[in-house]
Amino acid sequence: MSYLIHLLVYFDIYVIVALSLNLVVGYCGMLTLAHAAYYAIGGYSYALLSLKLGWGFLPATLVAALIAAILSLAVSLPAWRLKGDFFVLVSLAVQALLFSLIYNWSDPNAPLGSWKNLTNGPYGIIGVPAAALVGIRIAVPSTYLWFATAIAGGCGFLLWRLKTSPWGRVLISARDDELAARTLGKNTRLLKVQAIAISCAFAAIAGALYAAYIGYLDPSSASLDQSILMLSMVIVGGMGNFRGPIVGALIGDVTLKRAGARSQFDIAEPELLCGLNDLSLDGKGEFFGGGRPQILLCTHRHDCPLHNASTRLSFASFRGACRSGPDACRRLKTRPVAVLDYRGDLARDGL
Amino acid sequence: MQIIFNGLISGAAVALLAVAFQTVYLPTRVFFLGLAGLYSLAPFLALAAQNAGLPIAGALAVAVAAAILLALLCEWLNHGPLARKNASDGAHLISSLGLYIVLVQIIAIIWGNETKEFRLGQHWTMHIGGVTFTSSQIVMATVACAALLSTWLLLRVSDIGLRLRALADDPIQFALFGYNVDGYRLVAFGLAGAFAAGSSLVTAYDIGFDPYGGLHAVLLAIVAVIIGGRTSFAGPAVGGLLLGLARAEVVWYLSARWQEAVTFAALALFLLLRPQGLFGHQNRIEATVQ
Repeated sequence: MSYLIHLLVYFDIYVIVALSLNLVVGYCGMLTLAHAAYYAIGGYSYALLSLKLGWGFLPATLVAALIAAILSLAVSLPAWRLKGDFFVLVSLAVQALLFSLIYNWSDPNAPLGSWKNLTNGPYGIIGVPAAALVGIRIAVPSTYLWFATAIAGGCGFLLWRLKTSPWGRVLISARDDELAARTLGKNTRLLKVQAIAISCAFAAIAGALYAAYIGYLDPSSASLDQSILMLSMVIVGGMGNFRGPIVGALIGDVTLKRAGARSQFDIAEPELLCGLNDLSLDGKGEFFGGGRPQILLCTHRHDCPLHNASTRLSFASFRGACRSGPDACRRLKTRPVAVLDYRGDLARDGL
Repeated sequence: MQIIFNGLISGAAVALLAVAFQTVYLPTRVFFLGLAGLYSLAPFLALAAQNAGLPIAGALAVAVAAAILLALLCEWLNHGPLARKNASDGAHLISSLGLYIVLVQIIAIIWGNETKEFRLGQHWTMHIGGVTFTSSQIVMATVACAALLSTWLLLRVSDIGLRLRALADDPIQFALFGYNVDGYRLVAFGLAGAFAAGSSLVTAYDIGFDPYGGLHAVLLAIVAVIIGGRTSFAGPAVGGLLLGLARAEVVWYLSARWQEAVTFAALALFLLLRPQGLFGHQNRIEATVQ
């Protein structure tokens, strides 16, 4: 049951992501690979605002969406001049830039969230507070599911209204024939900027939902793999179709999570890295996610930042996670059951 | 001085891969990200062949041959049919990305995720006028220079090169003159496979390899293509060298962490300010892209 809840929460998050990405890919006709970066920006903004300033979910998420919408200019301004493959390249460049910004904006001597160490780099942010609504923390996964569903439903409704509005119709006409839309006096450049900003803002909301759910964030949520995953959800479901991405999100969710649950320590998703609250260590991998982190786990995955063969940082960051793990969990009033090392072996039991 | 040479030599490998990308992109307009899969696969095949008891030259030949074969398969099974259906650039790009993911997953399933290295005895070093070269750097420089030179000769002197350039200029007219476009597309893909395997093998000899390095390498190569100019065959080679140089300087003056940021900032700047690249023709990008 808790597994099902976990799947559904992820589904809610993916629905927002897929629908918002569809606004750009489907209704603007521009493939973008930068979406995961905005998703991560949302997550990081929420994490920092709630962790450092103690903000509740709604104000923090609104600010996160605003930040993402402003930063989306990095994608939308080049869209004035570039199309097709070259727009994809620019979006890729933006993704790489934002990723390396998140990855590098750290300083081991400065406290987390200060100007010198905004993102804590590859170590990620551990112990992101659960969503707080009018002062009440939603830490129980089943309650969080209702909350996430409400948010996803709200976002879906907004996006649907946008699509059926006159604004949405102009957007679609500009996708089909930009020249014709322009001859009718429509400002297609402004339209694209607006669409991309809205899309990135919704991605940021999804990122904030994710951060509040898992309680842990690291740069891998901004990685290219994530962008490709998001894109594949939209493409599998059907670009430019409103219901398609929802189906795509479901497929992406179920296949990934099922694939992940079957193999012992090889979870198909880097974001499950931390925040698994019920793991049978002897069993062949029944992973139940959700809730607050009790286990720090590093998987075999290449895209897991704690075990990244391509960087020398892997071991250092892994030790960092081990070190900060118990502290973060203490703050959350839970205890990590175990810390697994980068090969998935049990490193420390019952911290 | 040392930094400049390090940069130039690693840039040579990027240049080789950029030329591989360009040999597909110019004649066929396919954004061939599947190349990244081939790039990842080649060293694993070489290692497997070596473990099976082949001498090192044989293992390398097997890897290159397999990469060429796979590149041909990519065209024959995927991009060829798509092109005949007049698929959009985006469709080519996405399906190519799919090819890459499939290839990488196959590699990871068979050989695992770990970083591996070739065992070819001790590396040795050579000192020339205050600059130290390692054996792997010398191999890299030699192979890359030889390959780049032979490409240049192939394109400038030989018949096939002429026809490939003609195909790049205008595929429809090329077909109207009675040449077999599909055949020459296959040639382009095969060449790309060979160059990618070469670049991949020398890089693997230098710094080791893992299944996931391919996409990053190809993205670098694409940046080199954009910097050099995407309408010429020589541009990518120069772009690759410049990129290698710039990245080495970044490591020296800033930190290795900012390599990616600088690389992609260069990409964004070039795309916005000089989309035709250093060696490209001056024409409006919208006119060529649409």
